[in-house]
Amino acid sequence: MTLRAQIATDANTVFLSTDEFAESITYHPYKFQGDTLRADRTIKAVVIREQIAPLSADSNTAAPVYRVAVSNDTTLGINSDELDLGKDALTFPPRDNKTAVRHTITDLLSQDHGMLTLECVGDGD
Amino acid sequence: MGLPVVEEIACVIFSRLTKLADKYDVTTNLAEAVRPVKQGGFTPQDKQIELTEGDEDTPIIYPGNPPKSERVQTFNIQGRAMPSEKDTTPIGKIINSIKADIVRAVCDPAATWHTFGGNAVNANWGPPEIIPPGGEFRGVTMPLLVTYRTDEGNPYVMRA
Repeated sequence: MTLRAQIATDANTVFLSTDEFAESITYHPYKFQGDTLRADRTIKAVVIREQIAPLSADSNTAAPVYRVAVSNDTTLGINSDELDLGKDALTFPPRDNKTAVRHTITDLLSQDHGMLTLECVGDGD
Repeated sequence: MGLPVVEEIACVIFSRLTKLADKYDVTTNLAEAVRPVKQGGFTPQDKQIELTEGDEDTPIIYPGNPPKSERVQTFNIQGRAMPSEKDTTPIGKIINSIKADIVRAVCDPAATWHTFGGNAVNANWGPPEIIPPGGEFRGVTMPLLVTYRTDEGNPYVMRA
């Protein structure tokens, strides 16, 4: 097994293990007009819940910011090829033990062969 | 006691924007209108409208018994464009439609839109500010400047 493949495997079995760092969240892929419907699916992710920040440079609205690390994989996570920023969404709790709410995926912060780091903003729904 | 006059105006504006999202026959088919709470209370969406309060000018005091004060409150109406990556519609076209639909909704009814239910004496639009690329979303902020009058010492009492 190559190092590249081994790192991708480790990402899924260690970093994205729900016994270790990860949690189960729901991915809602957007259906663009004419495309085949893609069903919602449960994926594993590491959600880093950051502080409240201004929603945009010229906005006086504040909102929580989340960084979400998922596997770059069509089954275990989200493939970078299928991601539709601004339309796809994730459902997860804004805080531990709170009810899960839907968040639009607003940005792709980083990507490699094994993982994607996504940004979600806002307080859900 | 009811709401301060400026909040009554905000409620009327928000009601018109909500109507735009709910049932207007608009080209942009807006998603929802929101007024943020402390922690936002919503997630950004394509074709979402957000109403927030901007700055208020120094009041002008008119003599009388009781005196009345005239204020100009800026309301910022932000329309967001977050189209699908597969959408080939020019972003400028989407933003132009959102701008037009916001104006159309806020300025209805045409003859008395500027009074916001009898709570204001005048209103006019400021220059739209385009949200530049690079952030989570594109869009436009439409400043709406509303002039209203109240008792000098009681912003709950509307004056003509």
